[in-house]
This record gives sequence, structure tokens and C-alpha cells, in this order.
Amino acid sequence: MTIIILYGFCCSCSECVDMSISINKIFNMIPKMSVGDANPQTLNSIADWVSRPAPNRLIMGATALVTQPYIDSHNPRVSEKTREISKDRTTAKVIVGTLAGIAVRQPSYDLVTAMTRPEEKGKYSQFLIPRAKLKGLKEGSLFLKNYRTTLSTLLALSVMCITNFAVDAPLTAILTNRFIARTKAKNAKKEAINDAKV
Amino acid sequence: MMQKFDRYLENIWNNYTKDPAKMLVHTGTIGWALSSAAQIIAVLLNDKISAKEKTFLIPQEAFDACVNIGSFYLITTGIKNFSKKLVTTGKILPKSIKNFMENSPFKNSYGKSGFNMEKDLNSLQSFEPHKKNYSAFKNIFTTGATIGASVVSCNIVTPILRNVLASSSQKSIIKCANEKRNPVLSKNDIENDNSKALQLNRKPLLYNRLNGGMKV
Repeated sequence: MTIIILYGFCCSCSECVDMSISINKIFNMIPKMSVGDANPQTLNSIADWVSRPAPNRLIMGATALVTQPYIDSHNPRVSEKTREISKDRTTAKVIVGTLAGIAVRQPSYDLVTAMTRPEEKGKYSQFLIPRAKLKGLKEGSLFLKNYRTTLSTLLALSVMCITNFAVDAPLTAILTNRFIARTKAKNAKKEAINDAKV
Repeated sequence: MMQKFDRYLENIWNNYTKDPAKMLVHTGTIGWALSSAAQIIAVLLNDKISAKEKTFLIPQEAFDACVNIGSFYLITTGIKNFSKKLVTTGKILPKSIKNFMENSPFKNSYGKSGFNMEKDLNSLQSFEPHKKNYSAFKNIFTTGATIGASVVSCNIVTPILRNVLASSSQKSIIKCANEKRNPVLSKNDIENDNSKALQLNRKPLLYNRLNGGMKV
């Protein structure tokens, strides 16, 4: 049922068709809604900006920094010490992953954009556009936008095959150890204050 | 060489430009798997983390990749498709377009599951001035919903699930290690060992171990 609601397909057997009909009935029961009008150009540029690999990674990283350490530090199934180490490691991983992700994705996107300009006549302006698709292709077309995102993501992924092991993992380990030391010092201070009170 | 490269680019174009979500799933799967592998190696090599914590952190990292891929496909792609359906059927629209629809011949059919704003209004000339507004709204609404869904799936659902799975995995690893170190012996094990000892004319091994402090 969930699959039909979310993905809109079924196997066409009678049961699925019946279920699909009832799901459509439920869908039709949702009231029609409206939102205020806004300038289409502004909406398109916001959507375009947040879909770019680097800002997208920034949004994901910033929200991860808020939620993930909190979830790790409130995991009731592990010991207090494991919880603290897990929180410290997650925080370090998110920070390093976000910074490295942005550092790799933004230049990849800029490079791909510079090499996929159908209306420019520079030496490498059309280097990454397939010859068969060049005719009639215009700047601003949805296909070109998706192609740029795809190509830059693929390029970033190939770079990250190296940076994941050479940069992310060692930096995460260093930062994790710093956070662990800081947490230990904090806990020792707390204990000393408690002992003094007793 | 250049021809091969061009064919490769054309393949990417044909496979992913119509459906970028497919690309996100494919690259995401490889990316998460690679990142997890690197992080697992980093945890394994980190001597500041004790063996007990490693029994949690390593499964946590491994489950992070698996759950991320699954939840991205189920939650993010699902919500993206649902939000797209809300706009293409006309269930949610900007005020000006809603007013237009209320005064159009499609007044009673729009907002229903079988209706498609793009196909059904294609021939309607009076909708032409609203087309730009509609596609901008669809773009921002689906993009916003996709990002929101990604945040929920990757930053809320995944950490909760991976922690549950990693905790139970840690428990079974610790239990298994304890059993190896201190095997729990049944009376049957001891009796079998005694009879073997009699046959082979040797001392009963398990009895000695039992006296040495083994759990029965």
C-alpha cells in the first residue's frame, strides 16, 4: 500500500487494483490547498541554489550537526562511556565530512559548469557536452541542469574515492580524539566539583 | 578515444538527465559505502578507543551506510514522488492558479488523483500566462520536499535505526566473546568427557576446568 502511495505503481493484479482504487479515494479526500503567490524567478533561483551539490551538502551537514550528536548522546542501549565516544565521533565525522564534501563538490560543479556551456564558443566550453545532444541545447534547460548535477556528482565521487581515505578518515580520527579528551576533562572537572560539595 | 569519451558522456545523459533521483541513489550508494569503509578503518586503527567501544562504533558505521541507502530510497524518493503528485494533480497550488482553476472547465476534476495539470491543461490557451508560475512553484515545492525528506531520512531516521541495530550487534558480539572465553558447560558435556576419559584412560578435562572456576 505504501509503495503504491509513494511510488504510484502496482503489479496490476486484482488485489492491487482494488487497493489502488481505495488509495486514490483517500488521496481525493485530502482538501485542496493554496499558498501565496511569489515571483517565479525568485522561486527558481532558490530551488536552483539549494539543489547545487555544495549548498545541499551544507544544509545536510548543518542539520546533521544538530540532530545526530543529540540522538547518539541519548542512546539508552549503550553504556555512558560508549554514548559519549559515539557522540564525539559523530560530531567529528559530520564536521569533517561536511567541510571535505563542500571543498570537493563546489570546484567539481564549477568545473563541469564551465565545460558545459552550449551557447559559448570557448575552447573547452562544450567539452563535456555529448556531440549528439549539442544541437538546439539552450542554457537554462532542465536537461542541462540535471546533466551538470549528475556529472559534477560523479566527478566529486571519483575524487572522494581518494579523499575519503586520505583526508576524511584521518581528520575524523584526530578530531574525535580531541573531542574525547575534552569530554574526559569536562567529566573530571564535574567529578571534582561534586567531590568538593560532598 | 574521443569517440569513446563522447559515448560515455552520452550514456550518462541518456540514463540520468530524465531522472536525477536515480543518479542520487546510485552515487549515494557508492559514496556511503566508501565513506563507511574509510571510517571503519579509522576506528579500527584508533588506539584511543577501547575494544568495547569499537564493538559498537564499527557496526554503527556499517549500519549507517546500509540504513542510509534504504531510508533514502524509501523515504526521500517516496516523499519526492508524493509531493510531485500533490502539485501535478492540483491538490496544492499558488493562489492565482487556484483561482484560475476554479473558473475553468476543470473546476470539478482538478485535485483528483487522475488529473494531470501538465497534460490536461496543455491545450488550454488561457493557462499559458500561468505556466511559468506553475513550473516555478512545482520546482520549489518538490525541491523543498526532497531536501526536507533527506534531512528526516539521513539525519533523524538513519541515526536512530543504526544505533538500535549497532547496540544489539554490540550485545551479541560481547556475548559471543564471553562465551568463547568462559564456555557454559552442561552436565551432558561433563558426563561425555568423563566417559571419554575412562575410555582413553586419561584425567577428565572438563571436571578439572569446572573445578578451576568454569560456569556450569
